[in-house]
Order: sequence, then structure tokens, then C-alpha cells
Amino acid sequence: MNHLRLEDARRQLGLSTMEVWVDYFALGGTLDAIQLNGYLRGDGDICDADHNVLVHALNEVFLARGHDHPLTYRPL
Amino acid sequence: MSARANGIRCSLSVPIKVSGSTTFAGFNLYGKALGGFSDADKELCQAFAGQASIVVANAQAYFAAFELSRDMAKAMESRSEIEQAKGVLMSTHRIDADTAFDLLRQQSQTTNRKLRDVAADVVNEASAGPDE
Repeated sequence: MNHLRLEDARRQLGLSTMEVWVDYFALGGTLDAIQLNGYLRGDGDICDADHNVLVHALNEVFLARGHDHPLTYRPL
Repeated sequence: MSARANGIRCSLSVPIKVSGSTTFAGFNLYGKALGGFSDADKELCQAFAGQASIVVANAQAYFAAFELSRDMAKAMESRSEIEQAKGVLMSTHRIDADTAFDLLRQQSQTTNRKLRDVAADVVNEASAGPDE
């Protein structure tokens, strides 16, 4: 279940859901903060494109901390 | 030098609680009277600490909102630049918006650069026009 791994990643990075949403929004993500919070907590699914924006937002934080893109993207 | 040497004979401490915060504070009073503090003093001190808690909570809410507005301003800048770059790529490669983002994402991943910086390069290159 990839969304559970994303929530684990968020916790591992010590980011609030709001901080993740701002990074995601900055990359062009279209979900609002409540929808993103729901997805991170396992409530439903989102389209592959939005998922990849979220993954990239988290991966950029990982990269800044010395980890090379640990979260995988979905093929479009 | 001890408190007693300074004539301090009693003290009263009341916590200043801030909900949801890892920061704790206290309100400490010291007196020279042997009888300590009266019940009225304690009630007054607790009322003051309660008001102080509200002031701290309001200040935290203000600074949280300030930080969020600053972060959102940066996010809007980034988002705008990325949307422009997606537009350039869509036009150049005849692709849809999601595929354009994926191109930027792949370039960001393979070069270990922020996607926003990759997007800025695309926009700058496009706006520079053809080489003379």
C-alpha cells in the first residue's frame, strides 16, 4: 500500500501534513490540504499524476537530507 | 546567595499552559511574609497565568499564520514557474500537462536538482529565443 509508505515517509521526515501540502502545492499539485491529508492517512486513492507530484515533494526533502529519491513513482 | 538570605520566606509557582506546545512556562512569585500567599493571591496568580497562556497561544497562532503566508508566497512563485515550463514542454513536444511534469520530474531526479530549478532553466531557455 503505497499511501501508507508515504505517511511513514512524512513521519520519518518530521514534516506536518501542512508542510507537505505546501511543498506539493509548490510543485503544481491540485488536491487541497484536507484531501491530501486523507490520502496520506489511507483514505482512498488519487490519480497517478497527483501521486507522483506528492512523491516528488517528499523525495526532494529526502534528497536535501542525503537520501536519493527513496520513494517510487507510478508509471503514467 | 540563598533566597532566605535575601529575605524571601515564601514562593508561589503556577504553570502557564500552552495547549499543543512542547514549550512550557511558569509564573513564580516570591514574598517576604512568613504566612505565604493567601487564597486570593493564588486565585489572582492563576488568573494571570491563564491570561498569559492565551497571549502565548495567540502569539504562536500569529507566527504560524505569518510563516504559512510566507511559505505560500514562495510556493506560488514555484508553482507559476513550473506551470510555465510545463507549457513550454507541451508546446515543444506536443504532450499533455502530466507528461510535461513527468519530463521535468525525471530531469530533476537524474540530475539531483530541484524540479523548480529545472523548470526555471526550461523557461529561461524558451524566453531567450533562438540563438543568433
